Amino acid sequence: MEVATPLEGLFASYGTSTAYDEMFTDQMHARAPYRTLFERIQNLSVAELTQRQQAADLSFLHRGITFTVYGHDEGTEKIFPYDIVPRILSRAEWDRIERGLAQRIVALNLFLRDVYHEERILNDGVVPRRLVYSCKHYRREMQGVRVPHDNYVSIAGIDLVRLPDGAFAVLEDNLRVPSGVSYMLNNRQVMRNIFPRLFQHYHIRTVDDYPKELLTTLQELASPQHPGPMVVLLTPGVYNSAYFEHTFLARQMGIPLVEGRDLLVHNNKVYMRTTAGLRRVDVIYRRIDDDYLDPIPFRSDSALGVPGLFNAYRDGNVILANAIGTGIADDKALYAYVPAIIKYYLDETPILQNVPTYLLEKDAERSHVLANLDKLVVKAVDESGGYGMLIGPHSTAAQRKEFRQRIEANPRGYIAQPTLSLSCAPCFIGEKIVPRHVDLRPYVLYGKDVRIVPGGLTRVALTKGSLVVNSSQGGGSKDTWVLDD
Amino acid sequence: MLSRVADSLYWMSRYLERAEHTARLLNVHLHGLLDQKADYVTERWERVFQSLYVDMPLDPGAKPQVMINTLVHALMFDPSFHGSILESISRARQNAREVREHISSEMWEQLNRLFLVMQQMKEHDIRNGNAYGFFQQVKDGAHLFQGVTDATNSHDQGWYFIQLGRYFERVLATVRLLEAHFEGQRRIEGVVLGNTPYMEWVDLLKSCTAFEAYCRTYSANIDPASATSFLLLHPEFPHSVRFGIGAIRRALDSLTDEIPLLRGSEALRVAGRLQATLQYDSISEIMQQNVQQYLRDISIRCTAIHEAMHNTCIAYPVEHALPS
Repeated sequence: MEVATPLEGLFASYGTSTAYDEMFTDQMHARAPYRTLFERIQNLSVAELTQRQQAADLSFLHRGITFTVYGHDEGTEKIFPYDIVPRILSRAEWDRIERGLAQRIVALNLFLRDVYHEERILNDGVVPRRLVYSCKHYRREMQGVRVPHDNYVSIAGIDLVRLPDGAFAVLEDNLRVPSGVSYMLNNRQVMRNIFPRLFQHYHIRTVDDYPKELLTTLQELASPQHPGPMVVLLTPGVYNSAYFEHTFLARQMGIPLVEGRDLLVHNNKVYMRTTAGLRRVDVIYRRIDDDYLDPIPFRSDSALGVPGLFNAYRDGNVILANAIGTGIADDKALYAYVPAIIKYYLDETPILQNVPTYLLEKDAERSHVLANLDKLVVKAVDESGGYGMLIGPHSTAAQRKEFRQRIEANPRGYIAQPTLSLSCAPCFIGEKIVPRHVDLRPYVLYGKDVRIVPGGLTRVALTKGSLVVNSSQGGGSKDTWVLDD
Repeated sequence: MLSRVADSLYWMSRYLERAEHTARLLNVHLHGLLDQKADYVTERWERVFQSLYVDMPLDPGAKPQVMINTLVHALMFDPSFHGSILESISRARQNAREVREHISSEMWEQLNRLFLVMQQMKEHDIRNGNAYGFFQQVKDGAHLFQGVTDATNSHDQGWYFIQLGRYFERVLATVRLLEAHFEGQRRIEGVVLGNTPYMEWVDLLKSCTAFEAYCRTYSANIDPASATSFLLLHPEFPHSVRFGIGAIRRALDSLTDEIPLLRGSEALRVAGRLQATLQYDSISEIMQQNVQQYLRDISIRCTAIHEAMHNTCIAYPVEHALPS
């Protein structure tokens, strides 16, 4: 076996682990897509890289690309930490991801259509009926409701991780209101300013047309007899942590940014209040969760929503993207059935694999999990953002005891997965280039066709050894390049 | 344009105008206090509060200097105090924040900067007696914002709502100031209110940035009729009531292109009529009648214009506004 060549300079402290490394082979050679980047960085001094990092940070601050931190005084806005070393995917790698995502979103849409209508997949026993009905985000109100074009999920942000063998696997589907796409777009803008020469060398596929593709997708949802539909973006308002993204997307698409109080329902039709009178609204890209959309059928204490919206929706007078009730497919126990769902509706093998998942309602799997809590990751089925998790190898005996009790009390509420070794990518931290764990969230659009802009949001666990990439828990992000050749 | 956005632009502008007006008024008032006998301090403070539409938080036992500090602090910083300068600026900023996509970055940055500077100055500088520096910052900040707005924002629908906010606030403030002035004179009839009547009129004019402009028109000889006429009926002075109403009517007129419902609306009718009244009434007639009644009448009609506009563009009943 060839001996690994030790790296020098900025990379001197770059060590490898069992995880797949995005930049280096086991012999510590730069992989083909990274070769030019590697050389370029080696020729830069710490001072030059630091100066570029500062330029990037300042650029985010000045553009007001911030998120609101909860639990602090009003006006606490922070920038999302940004790493200046891009993550690079070859064309072949991307092609596979793209086909896999398209397959997945088509199958999940067929599944949602079926579950809210004929329930064939439940009758055939492929997915347990009880599992679906007990999903936190299952909406009985949607039973039999006709959704235009049977398009339930038009926007998804599917989280991928790369396993030690280099293959991508799906970690979460995020079919409700995925966020972060504005970071993908702004990361690219900032990157162009700080590394213009690298862009000249690499042929990087653009992501800048995402807002245009999103608008086209939303317009395609409207009835074809209705040219020039009025599309709006519904935001919870200025205090929402993703408010910047809402304003950014609305501006980039050139559509009104509305709040619940701007909309009203009259005769089962949705209007927005403009100075020149009421204006009919046809398509709502909503960035509000199901629970808060309409206080009449859902949470009555919600002041964010629009009373009567659900009835107008059920009557087919307005289109919501995404549809109501798509969150069933986000349930982590249901996630385990997605390969079976793909097989059932498309008669295809999944192109992107799932992460092995133990369902704790099954006795054998539960006893295996309870015996191995220190090696596995346990997740609550309806939590996201890195909350409600037990990471076995990093846990204390007390935490394991607590999760054991929780699992035994409510086996439906939890799943377990092996502790994944997410792939590592080089990051510039503390004047050195060091490996950190990353994931990848591409954004999938589905109107008449599936559209996926080549790239996505690469999230980074900035703390050494950490596997948690969520922005609420100390994660950062970096630009993601998909090469054209 | 969304009604909510128009409303926020309107109030952003109104609150900022209010902050500037309060700063100017306090500045003149504190200067005036330095030159006079202590006898009528309370009465003069009452007049200031009256002209700002708020009740004076009064502690009858307090020593004059303590009372002054309390009142100045209330009008500058007290967040619970309706119309304090900091509160007004904070509300203007809050409104701007909700419509950041509809104003230029320069406008947002200017307003945000003003807010941050004011917050820093809170407590610190005033205790050192630097109230005048504070007032100057507020006035400069507000003027800069207006200049930036005119220079960087499209003069579109939103801009007209910004104009409406500014001039409604200004007209109501000037009218109210005049009212309080005449009310003060009536209440302590025959008594010279701590200072010479001449200085009272000078302060009144200064409170509306009108003293220099007045002198250019009438010389430094001030008589009640001329001063009242200048503040009420002058066609070109930007703080006169007539000028303000003219600006409001023009803004409403310009909006009819995009808001057909405004055409022939109650708002335009009342505004046009009030403008004509101010254009053709003579000061001698006004002074012979009950001046305070005349001023109250203008306030009522201004409020009517605001409400009519609000009911047409912002909070209209659903049935009236359905698309045809």
